[in-house]
Amino acid sequence: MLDFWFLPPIPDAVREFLGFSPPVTLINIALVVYTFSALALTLARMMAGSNSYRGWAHLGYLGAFYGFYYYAGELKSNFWPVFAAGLTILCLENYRVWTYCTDAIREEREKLG
Amino acid sequence: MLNNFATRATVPVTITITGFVIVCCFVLYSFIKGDLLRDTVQHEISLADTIVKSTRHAMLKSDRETLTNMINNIGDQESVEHVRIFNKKGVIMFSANPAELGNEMDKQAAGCNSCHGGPEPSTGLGSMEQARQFTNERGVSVLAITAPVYNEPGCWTAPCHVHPSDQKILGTLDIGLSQKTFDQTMQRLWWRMIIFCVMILILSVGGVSALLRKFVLSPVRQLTVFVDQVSRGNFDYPLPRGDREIESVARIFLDIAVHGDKMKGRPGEGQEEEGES
Repeated sequence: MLDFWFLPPIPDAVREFLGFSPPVTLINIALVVYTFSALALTLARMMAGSNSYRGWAHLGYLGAFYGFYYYAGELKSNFWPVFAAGLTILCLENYRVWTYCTDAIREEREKLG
Repeated sequence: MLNNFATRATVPVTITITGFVIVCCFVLYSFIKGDLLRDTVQHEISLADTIVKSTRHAMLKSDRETLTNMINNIGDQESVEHVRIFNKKGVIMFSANPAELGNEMDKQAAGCNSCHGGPEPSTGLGSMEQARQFTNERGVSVLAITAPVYNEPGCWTAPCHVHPSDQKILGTLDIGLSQKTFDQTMQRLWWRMIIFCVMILILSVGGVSALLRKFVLSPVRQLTVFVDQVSRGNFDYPLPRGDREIESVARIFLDIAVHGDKMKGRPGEGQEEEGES
C-alpha cells in the first residue's frame, strides 16, 4: 500500500555515524506519550484562553517521528499511527484557535456596533 | 451551528478521545503483531529443530531414501510451503519439490545473506535473524526459517562419511510456512479494534452530550425562559429547578425584577433616590 519508493536508502556512512536506531517499541511508546501530553496541553491552553498557535512545532515533532521510523526501517508499518496522532493534535489545535478567533471577532463586533 | 454551547463542549472531547484511542489502537496492534510474529518464529524454529533432530539418525547413516521420505511427508502438509536441506556449498540436496533438487542457491539471496553477508559466514544467528517473510511465486505470504545443521562429534566420527571436526556447519534446513492463518488472525484483530474505536466514539460523544444536556443545557434553557417570562412581568413563573447555581441566579434576577417593578410603580421615590445619590 505504502512503499515509499521515493525515499532514498540511508547510506552506510550515515548509519555508521549515527549508530543503531532506537527500538521500534520505544518509538511507539514515545509516540503515545507525546500524543497524550500534546492533547492535554492543547486542552489546557483552550481552558486558559491562550492565543498562541503551536501547530508548526507539532509538525516538527511529527516529522521527527517519521524520521525515527524511517531510520529504524519501520516507516511502512507505522505511517498511519503518526498520521492519526498528527491529525488529532492539529485538529484540536486548530479548533482551539478557531474558537478563540470567533470569540475575538464577536467581541470586536460588539464594541463596534 | 458550530458556535453553540453544545458543539463547543462536545467537539474537543470527541477529537481528543477518538484520536487518542485510534493512535493507541494502532500502537497496540503493532505490539500484538510483533509479539505474535515472535511467537510464530519461535514455534517455527522449534519445528525446524525437531526436523533436524528427527533426521539426524538418517543423516548419520547417510540414508537418503528415508531422508527424502521424511522431507516429502513434511512438505505434504497443508501449511508447509517449502522444505529443503542445503549442503555446505548451498546446493539443495533434499526438497519436497523435486524440481529444485541440485539447484545452487545464491548466497546473497534473502535467507542466505544474513549469514553470508560478511567476508566470513556467521555460525550463530538470533531467532528473528533466522526468519524472513516474503510472497512466493504462488502469491502466498510465507514465513521461512533457516536452521543450521551443526557438526557434532557423532558426525565426524561416523564410519560412513567423515566431516572434518573443525567444520562448524554441515548444511542448512530451510522451511517456509504459509502465513494465511496469521494474516487472518491479524485481520480479525484489526476489525475488532475498529469496532472498539467506534464504540468508544459513540460512548464518549453520547456520554458527554447526555451529561451536558442534563446538567448544563437544560437548566440554562429553563433559566432563559424564566428570565424572559419575568421580564414580561410574569413574576409567578416557577423557578428553574434541579441546579442550585441556576436556581440562585434565577432567584436574584427575580428579586431585582420585583424591586425594579416596585420602583417603577413609585416614580417620585425613585427619582428622589437618584437625586440623593
